[in-house]
Amino acid sequence: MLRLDGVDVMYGQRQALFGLSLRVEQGEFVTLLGANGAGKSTTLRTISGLLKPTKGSIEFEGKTISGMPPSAIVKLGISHSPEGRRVWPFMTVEENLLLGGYVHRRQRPPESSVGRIYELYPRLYERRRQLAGTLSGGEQQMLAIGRALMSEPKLLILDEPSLGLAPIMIDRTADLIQEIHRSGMTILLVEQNASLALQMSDRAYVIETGRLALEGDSATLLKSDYVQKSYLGAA
Amino acid sequence: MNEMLQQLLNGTIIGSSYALLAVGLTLIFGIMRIVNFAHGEFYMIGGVLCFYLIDLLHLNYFVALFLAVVLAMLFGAVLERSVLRWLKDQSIDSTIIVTIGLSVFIQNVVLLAIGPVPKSIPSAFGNAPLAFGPLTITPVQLFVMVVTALVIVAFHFLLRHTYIGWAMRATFSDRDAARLVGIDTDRIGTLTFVLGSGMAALAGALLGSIYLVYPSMGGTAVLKAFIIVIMGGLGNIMGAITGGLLLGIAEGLVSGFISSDYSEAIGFFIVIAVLLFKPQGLFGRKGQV
Amino acid sequence: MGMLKNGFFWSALLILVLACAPSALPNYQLHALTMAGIFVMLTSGLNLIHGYVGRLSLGHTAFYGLGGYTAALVATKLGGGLLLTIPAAILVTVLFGLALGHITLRFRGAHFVLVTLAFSAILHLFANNLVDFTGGPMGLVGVASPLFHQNWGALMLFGSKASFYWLVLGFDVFCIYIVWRVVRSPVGDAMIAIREDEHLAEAIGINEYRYSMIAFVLGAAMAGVAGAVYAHYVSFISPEIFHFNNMIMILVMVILGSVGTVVGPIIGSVLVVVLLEALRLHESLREPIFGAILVLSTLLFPQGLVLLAKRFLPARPTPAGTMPAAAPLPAEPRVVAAGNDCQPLLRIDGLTVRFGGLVAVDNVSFEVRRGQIVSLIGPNGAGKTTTLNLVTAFIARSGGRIVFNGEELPDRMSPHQIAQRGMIRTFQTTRGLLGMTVGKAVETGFHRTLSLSWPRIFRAAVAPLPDMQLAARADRILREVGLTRDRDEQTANLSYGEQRLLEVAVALAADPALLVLDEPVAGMNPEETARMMELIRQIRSRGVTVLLVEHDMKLVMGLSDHIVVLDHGKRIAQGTPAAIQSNTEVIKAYLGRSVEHAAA
Repeated sequence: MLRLDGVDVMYGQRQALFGLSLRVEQGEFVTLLGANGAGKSTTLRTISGLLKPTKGSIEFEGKTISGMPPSAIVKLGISHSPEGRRVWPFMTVEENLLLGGYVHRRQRPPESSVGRIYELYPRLYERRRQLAGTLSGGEQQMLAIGRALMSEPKLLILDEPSLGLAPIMIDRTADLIQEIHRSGMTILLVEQNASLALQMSDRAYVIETGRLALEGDSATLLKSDYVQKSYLGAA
Repeated sequence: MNEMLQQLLNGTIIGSSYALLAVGLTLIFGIMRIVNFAHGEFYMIGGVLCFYLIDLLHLNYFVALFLAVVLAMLFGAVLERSVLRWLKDQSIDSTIIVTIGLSVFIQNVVLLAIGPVPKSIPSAFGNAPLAFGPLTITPVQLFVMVVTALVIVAFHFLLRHTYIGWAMRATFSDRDAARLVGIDTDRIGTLTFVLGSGMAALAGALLGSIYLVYPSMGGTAVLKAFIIVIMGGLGNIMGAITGGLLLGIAEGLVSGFISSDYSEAIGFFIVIAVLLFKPQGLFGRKGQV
Repeated sequence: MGMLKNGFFWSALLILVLACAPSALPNYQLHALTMAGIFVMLTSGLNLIHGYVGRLSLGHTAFYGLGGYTAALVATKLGGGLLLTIPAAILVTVLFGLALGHITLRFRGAHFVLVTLAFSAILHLFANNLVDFTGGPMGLVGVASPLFHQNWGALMLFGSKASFYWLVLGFDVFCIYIVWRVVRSPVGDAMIAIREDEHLAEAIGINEYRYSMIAFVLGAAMAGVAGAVYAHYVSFISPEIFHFNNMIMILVMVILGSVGTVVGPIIGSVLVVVLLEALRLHESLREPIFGAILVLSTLLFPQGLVLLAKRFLPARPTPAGTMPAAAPLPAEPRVVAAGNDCQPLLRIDGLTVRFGGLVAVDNVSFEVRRGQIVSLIGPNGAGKTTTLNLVTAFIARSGGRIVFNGEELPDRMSPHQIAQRGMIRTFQTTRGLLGMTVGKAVETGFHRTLSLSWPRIFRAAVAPLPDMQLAARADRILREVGLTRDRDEQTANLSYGEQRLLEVAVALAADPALLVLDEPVAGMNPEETARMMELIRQIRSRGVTVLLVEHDMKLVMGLSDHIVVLDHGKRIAQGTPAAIQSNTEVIKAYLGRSVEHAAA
């Protein structure tokens, strides 16, 4: 469904990605792991169109999307919940959600699709008139994911949803994500919390300083101590 | 007492136009991060166009007013797409210098075209002042107040209850997050500039209907607009509205009770005081629109 | 040495030629040159503030007018002559410059621009309205130009156009000389560093406030002199001197000439005045052309004419090859007294900071002993960089104590004060010292070792400071960090890895007792990382203690004597690398929950 081929990306002066290739098939749950600064977020931002590759190509459902503006990419069915959640703190929960459906607002009025999100996340319905900035971290993450779902994407990209959350909220968020996957959504997840990510996903890629270091089945990687070694440098 | 109320009223009328001017400027800063020194020239163009549309084409006042604003907005769109696009990644100082350059250029080209003599926009109303109790107000003053109030309310409605307005607020608050839900932030930028410049042009045409129209009227206007925007907090719309009214009233009171010469100065003193004690603005809260 | 002689020779020749102008040129051309000369003083002053420190001040005409009015008032009300009016003008503008600088320099960007503009506008208003004092819109006329006082003989030395020309020429030479000296001295280096990257400048011990003020006040004084001379020259002064059009003209001259060069303002002033003469028929076209120049030059060639021309000139041969054989260098001056070895160099006790309701750093304590390499690690968002910022005073703490080298640090400090005590830091993301050469960047780092006191700063304005062999010392540091680039290479041309090496070199030049590195290998490939690791070891072996934040575990585990682990703002573990690697709390924090399943 999604295919990156030999992608190079510059971040200001320095090169952030070096010939990165990966794929996500329909219905899969793929995770991208790696230490901080390795290039995981850069990869996601390039897929969504916030960054443009200097080399290589990105294809989605057969169409080349590298070089397209983010608005076009969202329209094609990729939705990205960014690192740090980035909800609009001075707008209400409902306004945040409705804007999630902005790109299709003429064909599918967000007012009609938002009910679906409220059913999934009654908490958001309760707080729908509250300013998003007053929500707790976990609720904001729920809102960010709900907002991303509003455009009825075919591929959902999640960037470090566990960041800054208390452990119990991380559990809840993880359940939420697995529920979404179970309903048939294709998911690409970036996480620093490797154990969590490997438990939820089917396949995993490990990125090290902008290059693909490892690719494999999540369950296998979870059992091996490779990840522990690479994260804590025991090698 | 009555005199003070009258000054308050006069000040409010002028202040409402100031508010309109300042809202345009703060909007442009908040969403596009551009400090637009040429904002005053749109104010001037609004007034000048209105005058000439009546004078040369003999259009009806209301039609001329409307057309003047529309033409100014078109000019704004052209300017934004050409010159301002180039400024996208430049430093704040560079954008300031370029917009100052634009301001000087436009102002003096207009000066060359129409000469320095101030013009008076012919009134579409009678001159007989209306009385409301102890206060008097001329029909054109009433018109100005009503129109600015309507436009500000309409703009408020746009921001609170329409998708475009939400898209503007979202772009203002977090540009990347806005792009990720599919908002075309470049187009929002153009729209913002056009709206902001239109507000300036309307303010210029309206105040020009009460006072006079001349090529350098943008210079003093933009200084006041900046003073108001700093008072209210850069990017803060409610702050701009309140600040505009406050400045208008303050100027009116100083003019009435001290001297009209120093009414210009009150704005400067206020802004210096604000910057010393509350640099984020009287109502400043980062991110709020 | 031959090069220098050349420069002086040509300058002297030029001055001599210019001095002959009154006998060669007709009056109106002489007038144009005189006005150009007055503008040279104004533009050089603005160039100091805008070009060298990087602050766009739109209030320069305020000082021009203040100087002019002071001179006019002293002349007309007190009958004073030039030897009274000009010092008076300098005094007044310096005082106002100190006051205005103190108020406005704390603002950045648009706020700074607007306040300086407001100041000029206020003065314009006062000049117009305080009729009894300033003469109102008509101004003050009959400004005479005796040398001492109007009653002291007919010493009307300054009656002819030629005499004013020479007076202006003399002041120009003097002003340019001072600017040239300042700019070539460490004071100028400090200003440029502030312009390029004010955080980095503070982090190596440069007092941003002090050097910005120096530029601001010096610029104000020069504008004041220009104003005073102008008032005498045209023998009147009016509020028009404060007009924004003047500011525009000065700005155009500075930008056109080249911001940030000594010669630029001269070229710009002369060029514009000459152009104005040429365009004299189209007086009304002057302003729109200025406007267009501002727009086009900023968009198309923002560096100005002088720098543009330099690109096309053949590169000056680097004198490096002609340096005499390396004489033994003086030992690097140790600016931090060696302290008690039993005491830790840095002790953090209960460090806390709150942002709104969020506690970003929560009661964090740890020590860094002399000669150690200590690493601060933790998952994303743990508060590591915030902790660094707290320790180096870039943000103020809400609670806790910091003791460095035996001294308890006060709650509120400026970063440069920390740096002055020997704690030097680098940044994870920083603009860097662009716009200069590699060698110059490292030399800038030596700033704090020069102990620039006020007497030395004043001396720098008139005479060269004793040679501290900065160039040779810089070369030594460049060799030490392994940066093989030519010292005359522009820093902007360095690769990412080389730029980060340069940052370390600059920090080393500041002679740290404690070197604080913020993610030194972020974005580096394995080869560059290995090089940095070796460099850090080297640095430690020459007696520098190191505190670093990093995510690269190979580096952290390979280098550190001691590791402190943060998570959610709290310290969750500390110890040797081996201890940390097997610490379950740490593993959980990094790898996530249910690690028991992982190990199964």
